[in-house]
Amino acid sequence: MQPDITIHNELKELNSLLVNIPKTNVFTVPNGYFDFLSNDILQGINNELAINGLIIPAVERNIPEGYFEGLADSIINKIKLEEYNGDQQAATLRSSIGTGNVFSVPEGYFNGLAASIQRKIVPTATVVTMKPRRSFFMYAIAAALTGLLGLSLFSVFDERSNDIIQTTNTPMAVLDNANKILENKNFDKMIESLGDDEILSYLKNNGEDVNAALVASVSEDKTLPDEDAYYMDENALDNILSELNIGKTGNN
Amino acid sequence: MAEHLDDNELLFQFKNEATREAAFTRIIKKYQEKLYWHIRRMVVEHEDANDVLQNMFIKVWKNLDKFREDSQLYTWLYRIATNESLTFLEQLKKRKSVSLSDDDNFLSNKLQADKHFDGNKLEWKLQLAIQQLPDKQKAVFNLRYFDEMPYEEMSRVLETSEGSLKASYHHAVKKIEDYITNR
Repeated sequence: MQPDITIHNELKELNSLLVNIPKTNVFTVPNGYFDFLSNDILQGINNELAINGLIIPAVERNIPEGYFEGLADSIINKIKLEEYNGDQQAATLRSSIGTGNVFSVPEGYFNGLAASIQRKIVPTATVVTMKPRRSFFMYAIAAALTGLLGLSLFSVFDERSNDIIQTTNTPMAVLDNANKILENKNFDKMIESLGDDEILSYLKNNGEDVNAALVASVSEDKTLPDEDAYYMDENALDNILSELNIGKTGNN
Repeated sequence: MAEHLDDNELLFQFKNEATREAAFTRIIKKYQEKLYWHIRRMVVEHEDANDVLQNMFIKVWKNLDKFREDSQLYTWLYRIATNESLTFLEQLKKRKSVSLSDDDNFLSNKLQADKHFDGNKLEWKLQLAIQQLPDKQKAVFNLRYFDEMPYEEMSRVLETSEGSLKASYHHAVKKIEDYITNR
């Protein structure tokens, strides 16, 4: 290539030694470099823009007219269709599964289940509120008194009215008569028919047995000793009877 | 041949989706060698020149739609190539963490590493001298001396006044003479 005369003259005017230096290209390039350079550059462009999400690949550039206008609706419809198909598949799957129980139990299992459970229940210790021992004594004395009065009652009836119940004076005979009175439900009537004199007469004739009844009748809860007192002092009961002027028990 | 197509015709084809890629290929083929050598003289090594050239054309692809046809495509391409080269050299300096004076040696070393390098030949001495110039002055000298570009066109490429470019070129010539004479 002929050097530009203007530029050459400019160097001459500058009296530069560059005028004498040949404009030889000292650089070289690989063989065929420029033959493939445009392909390499286009490939680089496609890679670069594809990475950046820009529309570059030829297949993407050839899109139908109006493609983007309907793209959103198309995507939404596709999503709905996939959801519908998914629901249908799920419904089909559920119907094929059915509601039958795939598990089984031994025959008669439920019939004996309750009893089996009951057998396996371990009785648990229950907390029982202990009432004061003196209350127990009070009821025990009252029961003894009632029993004595009952037996006495039957004895009195036995003596007073032989036509009502045929009996003997033996204790066994008294018990038999008592049973008969209870079976006939005549106990209350019998009590009501007794006079005060008859009751006092019985009590006089049955001295010691009545002492217990007296204990119950004259003592109050607060005057009885604590239950521990009976364990710690064997004379506790005698002491309280002494205080009540009833006399000593028969334990001594 | 593609090279004979007018730039305006190539730009028209580029704006048509159907002929865009073919038009761009022709633009590359038309200017690739001039742009390559311009870049190569700036960055010295072929691999670097190839990278800068490809990046430059990618930018051209992205921005060619915005190209204003009141300027010449040729000038626009040279501006991008020059700016890409200057940017590359700037990044190279930062990566190498070298000083400006060391950078001179750095590019000279690259030049001397060329398997065809011959320090006794004036054309190689000239290249060594050019590498001593500041990057932008180097661009001015190369465009004027090797590409024989008129100042008016250089002014559009480098976006610098013709007077400044002329002064820069004359200073560059003197520096090169001094380098060649004193080495």
